[in-house]
Amino acid sequence: MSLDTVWRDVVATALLGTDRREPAVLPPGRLADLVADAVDPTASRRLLTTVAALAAVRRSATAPGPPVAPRPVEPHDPRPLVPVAAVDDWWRLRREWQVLEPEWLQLVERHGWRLPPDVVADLDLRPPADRGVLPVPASLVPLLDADGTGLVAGLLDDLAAGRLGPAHRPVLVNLLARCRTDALAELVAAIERWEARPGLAHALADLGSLRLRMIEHLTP
Amino acid sequence: MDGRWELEQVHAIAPSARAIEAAEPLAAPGQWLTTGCDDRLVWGRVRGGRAEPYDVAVHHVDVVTTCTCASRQRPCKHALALLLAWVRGDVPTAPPPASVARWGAASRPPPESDDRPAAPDPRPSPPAPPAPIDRHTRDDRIARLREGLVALEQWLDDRLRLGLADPSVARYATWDDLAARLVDARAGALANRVRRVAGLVGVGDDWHAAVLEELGLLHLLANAALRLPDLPDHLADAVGLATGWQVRQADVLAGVPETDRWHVLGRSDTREDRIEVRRCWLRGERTGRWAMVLSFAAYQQALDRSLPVGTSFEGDLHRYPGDGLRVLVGRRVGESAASRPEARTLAAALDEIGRAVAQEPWLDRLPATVRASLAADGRALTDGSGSVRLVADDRALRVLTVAATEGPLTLTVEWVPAGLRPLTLHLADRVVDIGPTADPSFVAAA
Repeated sequence: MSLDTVWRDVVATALLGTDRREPAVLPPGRLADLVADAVDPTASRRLLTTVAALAAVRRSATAPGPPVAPRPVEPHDPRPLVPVAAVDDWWRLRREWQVLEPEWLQLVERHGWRLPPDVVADLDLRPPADRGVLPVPASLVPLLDADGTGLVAGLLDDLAAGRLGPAHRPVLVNLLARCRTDALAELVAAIERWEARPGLAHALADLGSLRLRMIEHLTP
Repeated sequence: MDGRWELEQVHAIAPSARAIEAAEPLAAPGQWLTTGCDDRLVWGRVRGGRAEPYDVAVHHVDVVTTCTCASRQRPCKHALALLLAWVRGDVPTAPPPASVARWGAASRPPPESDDRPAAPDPRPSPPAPPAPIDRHTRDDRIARLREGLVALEQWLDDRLRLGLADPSVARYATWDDLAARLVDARAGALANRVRRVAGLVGVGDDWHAAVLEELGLLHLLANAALRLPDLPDHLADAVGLATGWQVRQADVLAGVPETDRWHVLGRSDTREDRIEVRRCWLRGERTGRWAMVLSFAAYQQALDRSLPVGTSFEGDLHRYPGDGLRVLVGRRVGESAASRPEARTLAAALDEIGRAVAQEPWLDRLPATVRASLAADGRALTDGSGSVRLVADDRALRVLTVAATEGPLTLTVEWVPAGLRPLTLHLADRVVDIGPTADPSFVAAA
């Protein structure tokens, strides 16, 4: 009688209870000797000892099943994996600045990086609605590109004077996620020089620095 | 402050989850007029519902509490709050006031038999190798445990006599009452184990077999604990820890350290009753030995992040008595990225795990680093030596599925009775932590 057969019989007895079903006698062998050595006075105690012995044997005898067919390997992809620092940027922007996601992915594509498995899994498992990005209408993009420098001066003035507040945040966030990088670098540097930064300015500087860093990490 | 408890110990003595919730707001240092602690006692004064502040004291060696509040619940929320503050290091060391010292001296339980030696002096002794728990101390603890263990044995006997199909098995109170008795008997780890088994009832088609196996291991542990004086020292210590003996961190840290370059190879978070438990698996570069660092977080507390997966450090680990896996981190120097670990075949890894389980059958998690392919169905690992079922969430399985398109995987896994739980995917230039993570609505961000 195999160990599995003995175990199935023991489970059946335990399910019904020893008040209703007497435990089967174990086939001769070390296990039966061990249970006999315990000299348990009742059927339930004998079953408990049998269960303990079987549990210990089953767990310590854990072994792999027969080999199975592996998942097929795909042709070698020669592209290098996205650098570790850029993957760290990804997880940071996923938590805090999802507005930067499209640009991060575009940079990966443009510079020929290969996505690491955790990022692919993250993209696959997330509902499409959970991207948190306000798309900028295409007609505004040239305007953002052209007006970068002037934009910085105006923004700095308005932030310093407290004319911009939480109500303007979504627009400003999307603006900084799309504006030219030289203008962005200028804005971030200017804000970081301020001794006391309003909360909004602090958040915008954080977004700006993450975007600049991510571009640097993904540009070979 | 030596002998400080761990958070789980405070939770273990709480009469209910609600008591801890009520205590949490009072645990902030600003709530207390005075607090102090020494190597046996913690005390404090806190404002309550009456004009006169409440005087609270806890004998943390003998686990006795007192409070002048009117609550009939013991320990009351004030005592629990004081303990929480102490555990978090918010209570300064000071000589006890005379009234507290008198109470502390009077609260010590009498010796349980005439020939039993007095409880050992809890004060730290000069550095000496303390690894095995002193036999007299152990005997004293056995006596305290005995009552709980006998109750456990009777309870197990009832379950098998009445059968697992009996409606009482499906009632949580059946399990919770037993767990409470084990907590009273200071067998906290056994109590946690009972609650974990309760969680298996009704889960999956084969739950009877899974529960029965756990009941068998509970019986084995209870029996071993009842015969503790007859066991070899290391096994006795291992059984003691598995039943819930409290070992002082200072005693562990005073032991002989294992010095090595320790690679943090895996992390696994699990909710155990009211506490989130984090296990960090480390492996020594020179010794090849595994070690586990446990940390805990209650509701809205942050989990320890001091051991990120993929890092390594040169330093000392101190093993708990019994020479098992659990360690405390001592001196740490020279941190850097971990190198890619040596991996085994599935058969070799399970062989090593089986040997460890044969020594301590109640072990339910063990680490290994393996190199294997993902099975075509995506639910198992396979190599020339065999295949093993994966126990993983959707995210981990998805990461493995993507990574497996390039060939065999190097993984650090955690063996659990149901299979292998992937914790870390080791790539050529990085690691991907795919271990189970704590529920973000339960723990606070660090």
